[in-house]
Amino acid sequence: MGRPTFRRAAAVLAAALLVAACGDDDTTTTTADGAVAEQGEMADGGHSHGEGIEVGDADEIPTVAITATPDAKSGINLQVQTTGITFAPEHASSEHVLGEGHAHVYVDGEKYGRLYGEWMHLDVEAGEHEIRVDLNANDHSPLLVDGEPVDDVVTVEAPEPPSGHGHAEGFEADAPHPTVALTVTEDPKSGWNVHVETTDYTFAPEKASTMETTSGEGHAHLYVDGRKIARMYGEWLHVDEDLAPGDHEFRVELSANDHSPYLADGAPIEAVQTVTVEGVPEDAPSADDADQVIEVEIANDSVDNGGRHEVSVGDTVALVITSDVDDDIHVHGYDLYADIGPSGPATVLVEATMPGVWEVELHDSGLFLLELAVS
Amino acid sequence: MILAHGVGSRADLPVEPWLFAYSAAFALLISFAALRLLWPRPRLADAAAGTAAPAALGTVASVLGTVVQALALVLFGVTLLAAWFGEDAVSANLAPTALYIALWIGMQVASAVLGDVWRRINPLWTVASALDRVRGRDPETSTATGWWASNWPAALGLLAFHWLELAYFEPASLTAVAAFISAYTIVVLVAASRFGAGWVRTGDGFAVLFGLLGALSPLHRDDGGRLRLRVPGAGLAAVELRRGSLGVVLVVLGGTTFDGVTRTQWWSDLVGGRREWDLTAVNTVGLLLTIATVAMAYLVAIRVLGALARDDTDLMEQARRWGPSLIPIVLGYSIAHYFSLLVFEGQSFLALLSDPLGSGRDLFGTAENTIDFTVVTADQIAYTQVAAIVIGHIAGVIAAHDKAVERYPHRTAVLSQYPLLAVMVAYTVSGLLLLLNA
Repeated sequence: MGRPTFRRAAAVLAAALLVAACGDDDTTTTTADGAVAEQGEMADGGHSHGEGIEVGDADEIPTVAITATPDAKSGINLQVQTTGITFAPEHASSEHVLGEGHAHVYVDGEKYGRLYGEWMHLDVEAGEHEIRVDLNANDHSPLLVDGEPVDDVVTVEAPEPPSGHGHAEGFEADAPHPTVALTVTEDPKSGWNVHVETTDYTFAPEKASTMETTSGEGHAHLYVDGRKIARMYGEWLHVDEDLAPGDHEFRVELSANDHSPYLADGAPIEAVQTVTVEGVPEDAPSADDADQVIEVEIANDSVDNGGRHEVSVGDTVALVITSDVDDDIHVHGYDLYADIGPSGPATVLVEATMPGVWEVELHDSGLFLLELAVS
Repeated sequence: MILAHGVGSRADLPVEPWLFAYSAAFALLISFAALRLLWPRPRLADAAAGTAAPAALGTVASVLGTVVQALALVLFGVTLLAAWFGEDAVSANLAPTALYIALWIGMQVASAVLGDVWRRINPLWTVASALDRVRGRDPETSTATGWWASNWPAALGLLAFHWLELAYFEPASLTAVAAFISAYTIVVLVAASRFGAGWVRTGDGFAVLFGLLGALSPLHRDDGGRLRLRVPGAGLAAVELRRGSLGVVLVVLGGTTFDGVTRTQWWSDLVGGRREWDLTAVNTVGLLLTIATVAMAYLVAIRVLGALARDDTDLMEQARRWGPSLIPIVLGYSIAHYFSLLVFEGQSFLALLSDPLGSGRDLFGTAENTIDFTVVTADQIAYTQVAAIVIGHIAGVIAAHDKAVERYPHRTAVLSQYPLLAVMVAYTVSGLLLLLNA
């Protein structure tokens, strides 16, 4: 890009002309860290979980003790030792059963997620964090002993992630090869409960990110639609993702302690499940609802059926665009955009409420498509 | 690109044929009525002086003038800053909208309504005169002679502006806007430093144009600086065109006409699929030809007028004499072509003021404002456009008539007006035709 450089160079000249002191050009923007964003999504939206359930008179009073250690690669490894409670992920978000439940993890006072087992990896930014874990009933009400929550707090320093990223080539597992199976169910309250079952494989969270690659032990990585969501240190994981209507692919991949994927005869050891979220996908407008349909074809940089199209104010117009190139179309003024490409026609619905002549063009190439003359 | 004039996402609808027909017929009728019914003796020269405005109004205007002068200087600085360092997007950066909307259209309208306020607030003048004071020179003087003392430099500056706005393929590109504003500023300031700040009055195209349009305003200041009120348009009688002033008027008249031409189907077929420098080349030829055509039509009319009136004064001097009658036509054209742009993009100017560099600021709480494209209806826009052209035409006819009866005996005066009327009718009808074929 030559232009910004040119602009900055020539700016010295312009600066000499500036007589008004106009403040500095403070264009700093905070880049949202992936970990932070994920944590934000997991925040529970401030639902009250009732007043809490007093379990001080139970046969076995629940306790929790946590240990948090910096992971050698990134984030924090959290170990939660409990007594008097059995993690019951399969009953999460259902009726309270005495002696069952799960834990909630808070990082710096913000809810990070649910915990369904002894170990969890917290993907947090480098720096000092306060980790709090409390125990909850299946219905998410906090467990109380003599009116006080059953919780524990530690402070831990998360490491700077190493600059070089990328996992090792892969790690050929000894025979018999480990296997993995995946079951994803929708949580009744929010998100998804992920359950993996393995054979010839042991979760070894205490060795995560170490170079100690003992065959048959390690941890798993969970991906949703190809996006890495979390490490798994046990059979259960709660994923608080709000997925759009349509199909989504959950994939779990077994890896060695040093994060290199396990290979069985050269192929990764993984399991995939597709879940379907009911509902109508938002971005599939249909030309059927339109009062007027304008079909346009873009081929070899030229436009068929371009030019000016008369539209009545108040009508809904469907622009159906077939294109041999990938681009965005932009309807000026109405500021509507849509991806177009060779994979099939794209439809944009324009509610023609504003009179005038409006240009429709390709956003990247600037190719002029047509005008909507709304009157 | 179908949408010309620098910035904006919307073009006006064509006016209805019946509206075109009525307004063209009305303009013709007025023109011929003017020959018979208008006053037999000049009136505007007397009316141009007007009456003294209340002293309080003068004081308020002076204080406001100083405040707005400071604000204009700050806005100028911010615009330069945004042009060089801001986010590179028209929708996020103040600079293109400041140049094409606030300065170009906003100041034309403001000058016609409020008088030559630009004379007071022009940031280039503010800078140049401050430099003169530092150097111990009288800022009002100019030592320029010959071509440099004429308005031709101003006409060239406006031609460069029109080229950027209407011919260059990326008029809203930040690099282009930054380069234009900077180069323009440098040329004006260097010339002002050479000749004295007074040069800005004659050499800065925007200053000259806004000064001429200021003659239409009911407000003006007399030689002693006192604020006076007069009939709108009467000031035309007091306008003295210097060498090159006509160049300024015709460049703007031709430029605005070309803006209309580029929005016709005829032009977009002609341009075909041309892009970038190909497009720029065709546009440049079109712009220059349009200006030349508009200028030739005027000069031919003046030549015939001179022959009919048996006036053997130098052709260019005669052309300057009748030139002020084109000023209301310039304003009419500008309003016809830019009214909706001012109304709509003016809203985005207010939003951009809050976040001039596109850096996420919200200084005045308006950054998130979006353009309401329904504040005026399509009909209101069409009527405004047609009214602007027809009223500009009428004002031009009156100004020319008044000058003719001042200059010639009544019979000759009436005779002399035929060619001038013909060219004004031609301007008006072609202006309306462009609206019809928008």
